[in-house]
Amino acid sequence: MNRRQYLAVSTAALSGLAGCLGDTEYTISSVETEDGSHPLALDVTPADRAIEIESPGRLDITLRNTGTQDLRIKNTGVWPLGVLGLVSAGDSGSLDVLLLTDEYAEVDTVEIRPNGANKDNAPLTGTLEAGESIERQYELIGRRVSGAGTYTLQGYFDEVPLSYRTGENTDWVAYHPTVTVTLTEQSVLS
Amino acid sequence: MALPRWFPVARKEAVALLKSKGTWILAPLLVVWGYGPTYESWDVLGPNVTVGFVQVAGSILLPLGVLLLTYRSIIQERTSGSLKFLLGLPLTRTDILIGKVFGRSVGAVLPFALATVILGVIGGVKFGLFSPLRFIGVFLVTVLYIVVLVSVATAASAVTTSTVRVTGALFGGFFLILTLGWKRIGVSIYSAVTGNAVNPFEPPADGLLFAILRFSPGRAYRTVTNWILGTGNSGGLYTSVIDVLYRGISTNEYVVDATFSGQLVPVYLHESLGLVVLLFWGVVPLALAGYRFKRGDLA
Repeated sequence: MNRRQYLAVSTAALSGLAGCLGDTEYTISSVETEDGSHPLALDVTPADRAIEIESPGRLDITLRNTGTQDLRIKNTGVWPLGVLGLVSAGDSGSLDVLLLTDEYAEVDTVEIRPNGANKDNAPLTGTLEAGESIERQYELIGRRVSGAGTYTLQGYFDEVPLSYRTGENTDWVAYHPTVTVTLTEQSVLS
Repeated sequence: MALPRWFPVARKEAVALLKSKGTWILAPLLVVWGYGPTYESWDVLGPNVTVGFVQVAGSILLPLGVLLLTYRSIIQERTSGSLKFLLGLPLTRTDILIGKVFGRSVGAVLPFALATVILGVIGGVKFGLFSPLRFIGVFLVTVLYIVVLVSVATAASAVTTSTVRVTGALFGGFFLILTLGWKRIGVSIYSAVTGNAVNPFEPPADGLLFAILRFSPGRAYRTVTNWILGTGNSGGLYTSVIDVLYRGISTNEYVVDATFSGQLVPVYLHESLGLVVLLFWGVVPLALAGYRFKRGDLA
């Protein structure tokens, strides 16, 4: 093997193997939302698809009142979306992923720990006026992701993140749209 | 200014090592071995995680590589008979030892320096600007560690009469016992001396235990580099120290800050004394070998 071949082989090996010993990084490869027949709509848009060691992935989640009446919205933790998580869909064996938002630091109803979280179950209610929308940004920290796969967005503690009603005398209706988020492992050469 | 008498020997050794492909294969291997960012280390160190890569590169693979590159430095000349020719030149046996250590150190440091630069570039691009002082500090301590390893290997090579013996002494004794297995062996020595059994997940706050543990050159090296990194007072890899101190995970790594939490830490456990341990290993074995080499038979 001459010097030029040696350099080429070692550079290729180096490029291919670099990062093998590091933690896995992920990409939010797709987000799909299916709303039911509710006067609410949930838009989930990846603001930052890369879940990397030095920066988390980000999802912009917008809750819209698409109806013509004001809605009372009830949930726990932080209003209106609560403590959200990604729950593994199917038998991938991945653990639930807690999503983080800056709002947790502003309330005393949610406590985030390095490997878990606590939530006060006291209900929080507020009004979302007709045509109004509220946007919150949630972060996906790679350290909390146990593996690539397809996940369902839902409440981290309760499957239904929020309930709503149109008037004081109507029943609370559980709102749980189907949002699937697919995470794929980043290639070491990307 | 006249060059020292041992300089031609050192130059020959360095050039021979730098012309060898094996020496340069070490550089990419060290990069791959050293580059291992984790979410936890980023949370604690930020961009200085790149400095941690240098420490990882300097642990396990580097000592093995340096020992492989240097263990035959004297014994090869002794068995081939060229040592007698070398001594026919106006050189003392001490000159030969110093020349061998200096030259082989330069030959081993250069591929490591190349690996460090590559790690610095990769880490700098991905994680941002790190502390240059910490980076240079860890690099310089690793250079000292390389010199210590070359010195020990040259000492072993000078006092043995066969390649098999020096291989056994360095890889079976120095590398296996003092580098890879010292944590277990050090704890066994402590238990034998004091009669106290040690639970590695909850070690006693006894200075003697930690002093024994950092007598290993590898653990002394990591104690000093962890000090420069600012991760904690321990001879373990910085990632293990972070697990214990910042994630609160119970592991079998011995960390002074965790074990002596709220108690007075003995002065002799200060991280800077790891440099004294390294200097001890760099000087004492070579001095003893030099004493014997000067009086020994060359046959």
